[in-house]
Amino acid sequence: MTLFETALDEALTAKYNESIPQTEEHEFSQSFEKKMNKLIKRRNKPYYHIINTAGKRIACIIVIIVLSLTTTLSVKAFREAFCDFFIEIFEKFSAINSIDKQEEYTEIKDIYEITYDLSGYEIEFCQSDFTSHSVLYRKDDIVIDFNQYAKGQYDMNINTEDTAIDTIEINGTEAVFYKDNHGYANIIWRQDGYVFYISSNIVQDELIEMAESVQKAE
Amino acid sequence: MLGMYLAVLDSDEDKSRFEKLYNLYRQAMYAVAYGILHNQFDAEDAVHESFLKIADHFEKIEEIKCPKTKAFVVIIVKNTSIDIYNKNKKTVENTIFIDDMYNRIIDEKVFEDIDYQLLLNKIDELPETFKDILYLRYVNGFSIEDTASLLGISVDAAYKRIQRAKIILNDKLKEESVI
Repeated sequence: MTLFETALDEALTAKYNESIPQTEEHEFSQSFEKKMNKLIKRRNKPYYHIINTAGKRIACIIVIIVLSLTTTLSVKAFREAFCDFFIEIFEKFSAINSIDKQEEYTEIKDIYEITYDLSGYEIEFCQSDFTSHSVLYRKDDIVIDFNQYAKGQYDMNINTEDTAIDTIEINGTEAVFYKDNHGYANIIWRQDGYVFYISSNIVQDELIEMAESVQKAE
Repeated sequence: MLGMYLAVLDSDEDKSRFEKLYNLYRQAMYAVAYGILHNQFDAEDAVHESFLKIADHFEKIEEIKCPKTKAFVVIIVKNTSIDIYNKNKKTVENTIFIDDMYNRIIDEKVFEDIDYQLLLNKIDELPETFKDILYLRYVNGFSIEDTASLLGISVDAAYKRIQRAKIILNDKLKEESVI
């Protein structure tokens, strides 16, 4: 350290530390704890620097169903297709929030996994807690981010500038599909009382096959 | 076939460094934020926004439990709280600087031959805004771009603020006829 840096350190560090008011321990609100838990989980992911772009745009999520399609689906059919997720489209990003269903689990009771052949992939990251299970696979430049969520735990803001949200089918169930601004394909769907989210830079058809292979781990 | 992985997050070994930092400093950060905002929800917002900023630059933090890191989080939450306070009051801090300040560039090397105790005293006399930015830049070692991001200001504003800080420090030392 230079003399200047040393002087700044000596003059200021202790004073910053002493400037903290001495108060009773604060009990943080549930909404704060929830936000921080999500940030910590995202921060733990090795590619946080990629996904934090959308994360920075997080605003309060308002529950509304509004989406217009240019597909052949009728309005009624479209509303049914998306009735499991609230989606609000803003100018540059979209908020997707899962509608809680009574029969869904409030915590992870069974771990699910991708049973598609993942030879050559290594698990780069794995984290589980009572309400979510996340596994990150990597093979060279290919990344597969697999997530299982309990009831009420899934919501996401995504950058949809220059992209579109679409519907596909995963094992006969309507699913949300979109490509994010990093070129990753993303699928979100409900299965067996959980919400699943898978994201990858592999081709769409292969990602769909992986999503359709998700089953309870033995 | 994959096995079942259940990470126990309660043990210190399994906690991420970021989570450690969060657990270590969140109460202190809340206390600082509440001291400025006097509102629980605003203070929690300030703490959350501060951790968002810290998360973006976390790789540059070496030691979690150390006075410099504690000072760093204090600076971030203090400045974030002030921003929220100003937004709530719909006021913006207006500080007018004389234009000719921008024509003077002070290299920090000029402070190398100064009486050390005098330098400490004059640093202590600097306004808080300048102390904060000099600390982030020279003690925590952030680049000008990262410093700007952490303080929520433009890179140009950060550069000018650093320059102003050094100019004012230089002028204070000149008053003592040591430069």
